[in-house]
Amino acid sequence: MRLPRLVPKDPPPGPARPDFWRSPVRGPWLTAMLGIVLLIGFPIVFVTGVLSHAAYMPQLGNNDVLPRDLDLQFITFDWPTNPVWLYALNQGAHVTIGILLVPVLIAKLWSVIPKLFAWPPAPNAAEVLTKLANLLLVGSAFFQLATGIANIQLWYPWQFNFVVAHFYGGWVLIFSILLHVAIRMPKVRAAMRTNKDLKPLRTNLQNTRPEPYEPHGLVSPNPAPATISRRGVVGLVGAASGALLVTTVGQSVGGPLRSLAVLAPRGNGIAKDGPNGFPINKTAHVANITSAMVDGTWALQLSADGEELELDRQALLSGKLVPLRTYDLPIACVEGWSTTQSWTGVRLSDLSRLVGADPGHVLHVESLQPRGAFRQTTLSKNQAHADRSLLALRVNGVDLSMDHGFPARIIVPALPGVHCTKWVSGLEWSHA
Amino acid sequence: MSDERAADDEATGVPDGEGLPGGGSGDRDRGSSHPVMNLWRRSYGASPAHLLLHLGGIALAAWALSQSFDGRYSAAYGNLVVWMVGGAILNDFVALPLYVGADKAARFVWGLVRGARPGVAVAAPPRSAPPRVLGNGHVRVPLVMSAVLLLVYFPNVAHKAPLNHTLATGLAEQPDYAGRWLAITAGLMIVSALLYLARLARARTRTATTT
Repeated sequence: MRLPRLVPKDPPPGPARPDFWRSPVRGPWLTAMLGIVLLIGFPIVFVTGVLSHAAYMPQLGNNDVLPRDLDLQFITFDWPTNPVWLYALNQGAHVTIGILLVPVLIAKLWSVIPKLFAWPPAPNAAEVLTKLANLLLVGSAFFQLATGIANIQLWYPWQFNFVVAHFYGGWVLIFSILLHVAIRMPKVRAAMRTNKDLKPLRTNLQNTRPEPYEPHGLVSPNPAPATISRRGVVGLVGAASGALLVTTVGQSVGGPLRSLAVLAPRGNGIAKDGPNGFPINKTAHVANITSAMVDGTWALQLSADGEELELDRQALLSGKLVPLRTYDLPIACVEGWSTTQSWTGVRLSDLSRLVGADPGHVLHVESLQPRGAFRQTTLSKNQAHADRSLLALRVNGVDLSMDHGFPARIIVPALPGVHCTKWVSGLEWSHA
Repeated sequence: MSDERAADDEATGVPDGEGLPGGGSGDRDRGSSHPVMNLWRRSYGASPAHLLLHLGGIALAAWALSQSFDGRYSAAYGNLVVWMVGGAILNDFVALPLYVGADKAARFVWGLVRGARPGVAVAAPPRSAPPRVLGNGHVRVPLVMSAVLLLVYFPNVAHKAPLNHTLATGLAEQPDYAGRWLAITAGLMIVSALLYLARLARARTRTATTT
């Protein structure tokens, strides 16, 4: 049954020889330990990614961000408006945890590198399939991290659609992880059993010894003296992830932590001063909004089932037709940053009654913005009628700035930032 | 167990029987002399479950992959392929040899400087010898932290998308990310050096008091 030998039986000098790899800490325990961290981390990033897609509610109106005829978009549901920080948490976790996994992934791959060069490279069909699966796994893991991390820094050095590629890359990764886990879990269990109670985490450098050698395993047949303990490696990876955490998480959490987020795209120093001095993701200039469009001639068009009403900003702010409300609500970007501000405006549900819309209606929002995917949005009936869903006119006690959507913008609890439409021109309630 | 595995590896040529479902204890019965099973293992290299799981898993991944290759959104197939496999290739064949090599070279040079072979310090020094505090970690930790910050925030630090930043934030200038990264790196190095000096001083006083 054996095929004729195309490659020599003995490995050539270099990385294909088992004794080339000499680290005494490389072995099943370290690989299993790092693998477990990735096994917790990547699924969280995947699930929050899929939830973010669901939060856009692509099933409504023109909310879809992916072409509807593509597969694997079956996870859709009525995204809640409570708790109000739900989307901020989801995206903060998605982006921050993804970033923290970078050093863990690199360390995990260091721990298994001898396998990549194992000789012969393709002894049988099983090994070919294993290598193909590993390429899908490692390739998609780096792809997701690289494209996501470049995206939050607004850098697009590729020629494909980020949203489409990142969405399906996530599915490639999760399928690959499931396969990998099904195959490797017994090894992880064995490695953890033989090192009960995380013993290597309590072993210092002087007492660090290689794990028992097994032919064709990860442990070096020719180990060098240890220059770092296993807990040292875990600590090193932890320190690297910790540095990323400190310089990143403040853009999502806010408060004093934001000033520590010195490398994150929307951390320290990335907004103007004053009551309107919090981050945006699109200026009025980019959206082609001119001051002539939003001056005294602006009026809000309301409509539902043939009833129409036009209100200028004065009427909205007077509090006579509908009461003014002020709520502290977060606004959160898909890119992971968020900020809580004090918004003042009129409730969407109060406006809906002016034109006799019923609570079963969804709400279609139009912007003055002439072009762009997010110049309009459709809110679910739950979002359109939720207690704290606002058409905001002011923020932190002053008028909205142009860049924050003057004369009026949508602020709905737990709604993705780009659906909090700015420069609103019309609201139309209708059956879905 | 290991004998059995070695024997099996010999027969099938599977390194380690890698990737066998239940590749550990769960697979004890694989040495059983069922002729069909043996023939299968010898020709395929692993259990039938391995084949089924891989066919299923790879098919699912290929399904997802095929969606992202939709021509309307990813016209440049080659570019997408390069990005899909590029990270894995760069890590395994470029980055890993570089950082492993840099670590080895640094320890070799340091060994020359100290007139000792690298790694020897692990062996417990004689009691009378002056105290030694290993400095490896004090170099590795700040360097790795700094390198990882640069890797993740390279687009910001290298000022890769100034126009997009201006259009998105409304600010003419981005923060000086490069300066911040350098300052963090310097800070990490200084803190690490101070910690090393503190450990050294403590080790000296300890030796002084015990002798």
